[in-house]
Amino acid sequence: MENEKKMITLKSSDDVTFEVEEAVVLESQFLSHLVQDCPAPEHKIKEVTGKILSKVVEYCEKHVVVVVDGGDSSSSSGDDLKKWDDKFIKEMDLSTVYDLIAAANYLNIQALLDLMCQRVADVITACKDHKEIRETLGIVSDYTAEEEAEVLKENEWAFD
Amino acid sequence: MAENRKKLSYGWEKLNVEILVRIFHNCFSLEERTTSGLALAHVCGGWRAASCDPLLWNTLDLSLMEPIFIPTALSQYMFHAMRRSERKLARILKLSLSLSKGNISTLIFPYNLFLSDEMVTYTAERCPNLRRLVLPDWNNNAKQYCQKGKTPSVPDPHVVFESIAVNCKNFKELKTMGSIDLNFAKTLVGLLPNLEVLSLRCSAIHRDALITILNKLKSLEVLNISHSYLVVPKQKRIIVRKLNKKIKNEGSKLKQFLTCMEYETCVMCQRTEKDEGNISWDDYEEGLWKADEISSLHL
Repeated sequence: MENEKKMITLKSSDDVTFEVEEAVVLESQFLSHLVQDCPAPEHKIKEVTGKILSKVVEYCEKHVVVVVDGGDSSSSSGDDLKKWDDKFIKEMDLSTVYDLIAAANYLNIQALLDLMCQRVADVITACKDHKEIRETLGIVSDYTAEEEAEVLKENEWAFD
Repeated sequence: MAENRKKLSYGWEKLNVEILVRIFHNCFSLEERTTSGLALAHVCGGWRAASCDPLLWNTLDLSLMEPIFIPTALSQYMFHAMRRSERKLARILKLSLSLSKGNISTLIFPYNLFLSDEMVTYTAERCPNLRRLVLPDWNNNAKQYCQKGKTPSVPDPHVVFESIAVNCKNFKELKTMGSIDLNFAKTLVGLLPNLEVLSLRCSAIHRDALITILNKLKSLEVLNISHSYLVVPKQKRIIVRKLNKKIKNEGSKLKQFLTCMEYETCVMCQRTEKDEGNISWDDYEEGLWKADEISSLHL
C-alpha cells in the first residue's frame, strides 16, 4: 500500500511548499484536473497564500483519512470529523475565514466551502440587526441616507 | 501600511455574490431571509442584490414557514390564532414578493392557510413568471371551526384564476384539493384555458366538473384525480367510485390521466371519503399533503 502513494508538491503564491499525497489533492476539483492535465511534480497556486494553503491542506488531509478509514465504522469517525470541523472553524479569525472561502471557491472544494459558509452564517445569526452585521464584518454601507430610509420603511410596512 | 492591513482583513462587502447567495440559500430559512430582525438585505447594496437573486426566489414555498399553532377545537383563541397566522403569512409573503423581483415561478401555499382575495391579487401582480401553483386547501378546514365567528378568508376561485390570467402569462400547472364543483371547473376553463397540468387528488370532484375540465381544457396534458371520488349532485348527493366510459374516453386522450379509486384497498381513497373530500391532513402523517403522483407537483 505504502509504495502506491504518489506525492505531489503544492507551492503557494508566496512560495511556501507543501508535499501531500495525491489523494489529498483530489479533494479539490480544480487541483485534480490540474494534476491530470499536467503531470509535473510541483504545482504553483498563484491565487492562494501559504497561510491559507496550509489550512486547505490541513482540512483535505483530515477528510481524506476519514473517508479511507471510514469504510467499515463510519458513524463514529463521522462524529469525530464533525467535531474536528467545529474546532477547525471555531479557532479561525474572520479574515482567515474570508480568505479560505475565496480559496475553497477557487480550488473547488465544495465541502470546505460549505463549512466556511456555515461559519459566516453563524456569525451573521449572532448579530442582532443589520448595523451589527456591518460592524462585525467591517462592511461600509453604500446606501445613501435616502436609500437607507427607504429600505427601513420597507421592513416597516410589512408589519401592517 | 496600516491602511493596507485594514483592507486585507476587511473585504466582506466584496465577497463574491455567488458565495453570498450560497450562504443565504443554504444556511437561512425563508423566515430568516425575510422577517427576521437580521434584515440581510439591509446591510448594503451587494447584500441586497444577493438577497434578490433569482436562485433564492425561483420557488417560494410558504409551507416551510414555521407553523403557527391552530387549535383544532372551537375556542375563543381560535380567532386570534388565525389573525396571527394571517398576518404572519401576509408579512412573509409581502417581503418575499418584494425581494423576488418577479422571479418566482413556483408558488406553494401551506394547506392550513388563511388567504384573502386581496392577498391573492397582490401576489399574482408580483409573480409575472409564475408557472406552477400549489394551493392545497380550497375549502379551508378552519371554516368548519368558525361557523359562528367570523369566517376566515378563503380565496374565491374566480379571483384566483382571474388574477393569474391577467398577470401570469406562462402559467401552466395547478394543484388544489377539496370540493371541486361545476362553478370551479367553469371558472377554471374560462380563465385559464392554456393549463397543461392539473392535480385534483384527494378531492370530492363533481362529475359534471370533471367532464367540463376534460372537454374544455384543450391544452391539458396531465390530470391527476388519484384518491378522489366523484359526486353526482342531482337530488341526493350520490358518490360514484367508478369512471364512466365517457370520462375514460376523454381521459385517454391526455398524455397522462392518473386515477385511483380503490375504496376497498387504498388507504388514501378511504381517507378522502371519510373526510368528505376535504382531508384533515393534521390527522395523518406529517407532510403527507405534499405528495403527488405528478412528479413536478410532488414536493
